[in-house]
Amino acid sequence: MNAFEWVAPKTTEQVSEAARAQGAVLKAGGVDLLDRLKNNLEAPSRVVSLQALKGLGGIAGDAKAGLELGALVTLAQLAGDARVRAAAPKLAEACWHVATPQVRNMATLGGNLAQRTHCWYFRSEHDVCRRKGGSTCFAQRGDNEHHALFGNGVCASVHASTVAPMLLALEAVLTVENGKSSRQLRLEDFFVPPEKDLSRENVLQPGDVITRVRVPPSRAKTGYLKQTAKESFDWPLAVAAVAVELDGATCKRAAVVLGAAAPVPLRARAAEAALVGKPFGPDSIREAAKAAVQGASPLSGNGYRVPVFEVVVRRALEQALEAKS
Amino acid sequence: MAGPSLQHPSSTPPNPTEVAQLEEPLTPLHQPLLHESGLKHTSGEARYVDDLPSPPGMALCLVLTSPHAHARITRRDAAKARAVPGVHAILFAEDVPGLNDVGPVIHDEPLFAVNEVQFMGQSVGVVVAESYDACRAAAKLVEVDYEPLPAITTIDQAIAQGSWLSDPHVMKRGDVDAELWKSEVKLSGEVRTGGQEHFYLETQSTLALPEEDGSVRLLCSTQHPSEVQAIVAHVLHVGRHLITVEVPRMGGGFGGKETQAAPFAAMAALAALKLKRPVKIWLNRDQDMAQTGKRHPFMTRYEAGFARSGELKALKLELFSDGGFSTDLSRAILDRAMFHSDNAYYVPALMFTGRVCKTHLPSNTAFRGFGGPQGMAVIEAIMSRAAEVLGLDPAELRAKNFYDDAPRNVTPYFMEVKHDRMPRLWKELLASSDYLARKSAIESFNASHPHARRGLAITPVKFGISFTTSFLNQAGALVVMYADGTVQLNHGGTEMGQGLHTKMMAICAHELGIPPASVRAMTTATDKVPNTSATAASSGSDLNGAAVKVACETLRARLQPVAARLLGVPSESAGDILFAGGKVFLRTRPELALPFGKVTQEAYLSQVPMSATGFYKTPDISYDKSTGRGKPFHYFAYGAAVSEVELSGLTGEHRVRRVDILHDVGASLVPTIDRGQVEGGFIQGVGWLTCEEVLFDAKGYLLTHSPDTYKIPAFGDAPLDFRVQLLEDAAQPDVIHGSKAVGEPPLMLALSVVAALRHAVTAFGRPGAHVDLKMPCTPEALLNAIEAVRSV
Repeated sequence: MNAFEWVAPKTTEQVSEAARAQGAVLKAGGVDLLDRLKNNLEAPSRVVSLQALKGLGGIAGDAKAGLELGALVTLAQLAGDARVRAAAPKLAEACWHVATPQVRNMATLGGNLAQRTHCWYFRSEHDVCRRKGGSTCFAQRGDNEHHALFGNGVCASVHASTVAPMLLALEAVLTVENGKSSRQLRLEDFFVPPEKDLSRENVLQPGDVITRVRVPPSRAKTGYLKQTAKESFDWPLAVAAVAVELDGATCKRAAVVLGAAAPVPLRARAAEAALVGKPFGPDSIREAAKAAVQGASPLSGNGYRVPVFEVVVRRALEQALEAKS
Repeated sequence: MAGPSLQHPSSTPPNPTEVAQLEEPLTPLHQPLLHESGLKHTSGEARYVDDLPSPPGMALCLVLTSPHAHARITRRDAAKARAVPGVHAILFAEDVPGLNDVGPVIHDEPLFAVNEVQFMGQSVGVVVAESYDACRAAAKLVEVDYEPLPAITTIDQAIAQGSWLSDPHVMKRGDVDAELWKSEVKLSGEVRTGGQEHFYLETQSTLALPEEDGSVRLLCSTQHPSEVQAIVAHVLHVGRHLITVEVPRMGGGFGGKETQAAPFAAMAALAALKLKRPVKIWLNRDQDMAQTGKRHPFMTRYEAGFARSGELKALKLELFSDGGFSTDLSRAILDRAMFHSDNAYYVPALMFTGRVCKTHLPSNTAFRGFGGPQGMAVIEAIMSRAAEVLGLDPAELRAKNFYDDAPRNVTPYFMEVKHDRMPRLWKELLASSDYLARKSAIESFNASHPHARRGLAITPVKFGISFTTSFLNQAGALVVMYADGTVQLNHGGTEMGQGLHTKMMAICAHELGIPPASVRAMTTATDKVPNTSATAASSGSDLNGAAVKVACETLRARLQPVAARLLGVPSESAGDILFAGGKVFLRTRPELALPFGKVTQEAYLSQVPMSATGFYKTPDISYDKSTGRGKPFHYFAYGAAVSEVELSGLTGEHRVRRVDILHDVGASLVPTIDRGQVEGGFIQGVGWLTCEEVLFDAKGYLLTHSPDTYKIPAFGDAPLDFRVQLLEDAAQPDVIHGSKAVGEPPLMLALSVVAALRHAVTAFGRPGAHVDLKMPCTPEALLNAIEAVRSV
């Protein structure tokens, strides 16, 4: 790790200003940033801490009004908060499934969304992969058991957030501030696939700070499943987050989102199409699960996860079917 | 968790002098005790090397490592780096005054690479500076030019290119080819087991303190202080008397600090003497994982011949281990793998051939079991496969092949199996685990469940106890009494959390008849007990315990005449004076007891020497590698485990539902400690076999260099129902207080989980379908195996 300047501004405007400098990075909980620094992936000249900001913590709202979540709220707080558990129980569950208590106590919601991929080639300082300006995606021909099944033609990494799929299914909206300006951004528009721009995984520009995450009120029935190799805590083999709105017994709207499947959290549009307009039940669920893995392009070592995704999507939808509302 | 009582039943004491000392309620021996440092570990008060206060002027180290798996070094220049403020020295091979080598057995491991680097992470030099910042700033400015060379990174490449670290080791009995040809059923195949990272909680660290006259004291986290002393002495080109190595305690070793603490200790010592200031070296987790060796991966080709009845007739094995770039302990580890390729089974005709491969990876090293697990994994895979092919119950097939009366009592290396506990242990565990009833319950579960299958398996462990290099089986102790009746205990073993000190204190307190609180176990140091062997091979308490006992017996014999005088007993009756419960008394007059402290006070005033050494060597062991014959072990430790798993055919996930273990620790010295070793060893074995996967890429870069990609089991992965029993009434003759070694054997009980997973996999297909289950049994491996049996 290199020496760097440490600043901890008290206002968002000052953060933006400090973060616009060349070589500056933002630090919220620091869980991912510290790993990147220790692995020599980045050598920032300035680290801008968000921890002195007032007003970026806090959870407000309820099931009726939706949730207003501060970007610095920790995953542990989200997992344990009664309002979150009532208004978006599967979001609380998704947060609870992240890593270990020590990590959840430090990791923030904003940081979770903005973290970099955990592709082991990306994380290796010895491998200059495409994302780091090289010409090769090593995972495409190397060890790729944990890598992307979809959209892996340019870069086979998977996005590391397992909370994002649930937030996507719930149609969350981010507030991003930069200096005096502030904009609303659908989470769906936040992530950037590698074929669009290899140098980034999200749209944040220098000076941009995620300040709030709004989860609109919803009558959708939800489901969430993170399948791991190890029971206790682990990175995912497959994540499925679903939200299904019903009109009587018929599916009116569906969101089926896959995590650990592609370089960005992925909406499985074919699965959604298989649900909408049909009675929500075992038959449409089975069809949707099948549709979710259509078009997968497995690499040499990750094909075993295609059927796993099918199962995980089906089970997440079954959870939704069982859910009260 | 269900479990037995911790209280160990009283065992039959082996000899009459021990009868005199064995007053059950008055001795800590064979009683449940807390780990002597357990509370300190929990509260954080226990001090490890890196926790010690920094002495004034202390410098820190950063190892300069190779970025290539194999390359020629064409240029090294540290001029710019030396100019960085705060940098004290940058040391290379030419700065080593003695031998630039840290190989423990063979000198093929340079401390600093000279012309060639042979693995990614190999040390080329070391930066010594006042801070890590300065170390890192300087490291960036060190210029080393490399010319990359082709690298060998797998066993298969090594075999193809004839890249070896040993000659073949051969064990042979009968005409194996003829017997294979005659066999009714022949099986052949290949079994691979992977590496395993030690993942000791405390990474490698040493603090070097220069002392007077060119001497240096090393506070070092090592299982083998005497070897660190020897290696540092030859690196520095001084006598060993100038080097003192002290081990405060270790946060785990598991074999990873048997030989591989030495290079880092040598760097710190070299820098400390050069700079005449204290120097500390400490690796962070990623550095430790990339720079040190792991458990040896093995690839074994087998041909086995069975009768239709399930009896093993002949076995031909070719074992290949991945030694990494240097020899380290690889040959002895391969030997032990071969010594355990029979596990608990009699093999009438056999030929085992083993060879160590040289690759351009970190030098693989000792790891709990020392090759034994790799050997046993092969024979257990063969037994499982034979049962699948023959359609026999795997438990019956295994039992049918156990060692038995002569002539079925001779191992592949011609050692007679005595005191065979396996038949008894097997029977007791089958009954206590309710094996048969659960097996039929599982059959009906499997017949009815849409996508999950359960598996149940019992596997045995027979593990040879002793260093297979015979002369290493020796130990010393130094017991020091003070006039007030308190005692300092020094012995040659090191404490790495396993509870050795607790056992040694119990033995010492028992022999002197005083409470354990009056005994203090001192840090292990080469200036107290010289020329020690590593605390390894599960032998720590056998060897050191016997030495402690001898030292205490000497002291007791000196105190008896003093006590006789105080008690007014004729001196010829001094031998009848006993020491128990903090009291000293005549066997026939226990009511006239003296406090122990009064006797020691009187001994001091009477000018009686108050310290004594003890020494022990294991009798009658030897092995001749050229003939493949001998008696390499003092005895065998036994155990068996029944594991039940549930496996999802949809996701490949599995859960270990219940585990029943019955393990033979003889008459347990401290049952709480032994139970901890059995539980921990089993879980560590489950990690190796199910979730821990060491992966290097084609360039020799370790992809799994931190816990985010390398997965050790956590509490949440422990069996849902975990029942551990120690075998009762099992005192072992000729071992300290009837006990048996426990450190390594339980790890191999985890093979029962693999056998149970195979059972579950078979249930997805037609009976007799060939199960090809790779280890570690990750969801990927399990799904592939399920897919294969389904498609038959």
